[in-house]
Amino acid sequence: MQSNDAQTLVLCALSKGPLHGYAINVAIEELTGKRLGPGSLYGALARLEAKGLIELLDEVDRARPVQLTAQGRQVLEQELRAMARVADAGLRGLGVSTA
Amino acid sequence: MSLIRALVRLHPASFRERWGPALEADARAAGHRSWPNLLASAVGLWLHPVVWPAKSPSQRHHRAAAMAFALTLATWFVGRAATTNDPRLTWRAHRTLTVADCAAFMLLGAVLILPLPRPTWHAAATLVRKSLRALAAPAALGAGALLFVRTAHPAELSAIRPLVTAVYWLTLALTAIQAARIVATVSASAVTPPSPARLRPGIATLAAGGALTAWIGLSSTTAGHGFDALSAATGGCVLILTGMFLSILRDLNEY
Repeated sequence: MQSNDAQTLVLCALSKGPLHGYAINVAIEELTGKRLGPGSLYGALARLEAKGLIELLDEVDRARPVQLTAQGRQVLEQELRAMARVADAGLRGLGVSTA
Repeated sequence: MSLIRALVRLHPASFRERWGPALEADARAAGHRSWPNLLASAVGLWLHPVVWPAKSPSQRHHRAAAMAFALTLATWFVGRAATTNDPRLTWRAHRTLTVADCAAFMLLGAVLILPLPRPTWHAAATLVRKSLRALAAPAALGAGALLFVRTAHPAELSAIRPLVTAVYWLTLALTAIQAARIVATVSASAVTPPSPARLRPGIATLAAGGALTAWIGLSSTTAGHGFDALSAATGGCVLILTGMFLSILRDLNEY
């Protein structure tokens, strides 16, 4: 992951289905042990929306959930596969089992 | 107004309309630890207008053009201030190029990025009205200063020369700010935003002009006798502005 760390984390959090901002941050905390700052989270959402990777749904209980678009799913899958290849190569180099 | 609300209000309006209430609620929950993060995100968004929520791609292109035009005016202002105060920058120390040559080159880029007026009476009337309203104050200030300089007694003039100089620079700065505001806020019914085919070469031209100006500034720091801090500051400032041009270009490719 590079400069778009926050964007990748948000896409990962949305992989199971639509979530609103606060729930996305809770999912990221479960994944990494740390929440994003609110500015980083909503900045990432704005950037992902501008790229057409997420879309807003109708308001539910005064919160607007977002979900991955078809393009967003595709980009996330490509990103995760690339990261998995790098992780796999690194672990094999270290002689650590990937299982 | 609480500090968190003030920090949220620093974000661009279209971003606040979309994410403002949720951002504020999450920032309140996070407490004071969120303050630097909110400030950083506001600065980051102002530097990348292409990512703000938009109704159409052409709105993003208009914002990119407005940002590039504002940066062009900032580069021009820095160059003008530097060449007025530092003779080294007006020399043909580099044999083939001066800051004025770079400004002429950047003018070509500015022409390419500017939104074009729609060929209607409504568009023409809107633009004229908007321009008159925005430029009235700096024009009045400049005309007043000019009138005073032409009519004042020489002794009187030399006594308040610093004030006249300050008014001159204030007029230039206000004109640049208002011109940038006209381009940024003019409605889509009056102008056609530039297409990416015009925007990309236009911004690339501006970045090249900025880079050349920065090079002149930085290489002039040691061109005369000793180190010249003003040339270094000018080169550094314009180098930062050039980086911002390149950042818009990258955003246009990414979004």
